[in-house]
Amino acid sequence: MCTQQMMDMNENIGDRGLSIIEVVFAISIFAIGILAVTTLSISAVNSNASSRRITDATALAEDRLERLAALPYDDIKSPDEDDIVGAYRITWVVKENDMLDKTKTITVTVECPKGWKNTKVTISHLVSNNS
Amino acid sequence: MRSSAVNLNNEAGIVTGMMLFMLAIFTVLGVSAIMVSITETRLASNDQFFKIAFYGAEAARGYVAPNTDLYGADNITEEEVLYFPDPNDASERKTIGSYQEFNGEVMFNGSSAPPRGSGYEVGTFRAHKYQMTCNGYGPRDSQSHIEAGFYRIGF
Repeated sequence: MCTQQMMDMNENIGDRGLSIIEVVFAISIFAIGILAVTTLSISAVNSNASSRRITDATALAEDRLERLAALPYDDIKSPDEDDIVGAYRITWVVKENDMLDKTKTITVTVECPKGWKNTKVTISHLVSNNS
Repeated sequence: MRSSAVNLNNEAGIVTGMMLFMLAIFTVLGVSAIMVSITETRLASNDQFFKIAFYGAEAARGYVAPNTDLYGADNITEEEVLYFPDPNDASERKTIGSYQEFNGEVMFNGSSAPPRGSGYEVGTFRAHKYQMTCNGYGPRDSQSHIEAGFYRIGF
């Protein structure tokens, strides 16, 4: 066997199995990377959902506050039971003469127990008998 | 000749290269998604905080109306102001809810004849004009200001 033939044979034997090792290596790196990106995306989706719940809850709290403030002064009262709108629970507390005479302090709380984090928005308002 | 043939068929490392390229694209997409969601969260939170501050200022407006001392005999010097809740301290705030506070001032703007249609006789009654500035404070330094004019009928 001449020297050239021996070198060719050694090269052929040395290349065997390299492709599969490379593919396994590449897939491993990709899997680790894609896991991190997936976690990132899931947390982005959760965060977006949480933002939407905060926006909804704020709008509902504002809406309820305006409805209550528009009522005649004597009709502004704490409710007998909580109000449920979709996934949101709306509660409000009316305290009379709490801060000042002839005023009512309304505190509206909107909660959404769904999702990975409990959403809670609380807004207070003061209405007077002659405002 | 042999070495050029080897170079033409040399695809070693292409899989890793492709994987890293795809990973880079996915990472850019993931980071963009996170940036968008951070902006969304800031928007939602700022909207919430602004509304809390705004209703704080609205509460201040409700505080002035029954507090007749603020626009009574103690406040009849033109361009002078009375602060509330503490008349002597402009920075004092009243807490109404969690993270929600308010304060403000009432300024006397002079007197004039009662407005047309008010039902009060011109010459007998006078309208004492006031301007209230209501400040509401919410979480993370959010603030809201409401200015409103009103008058008190007197002699």
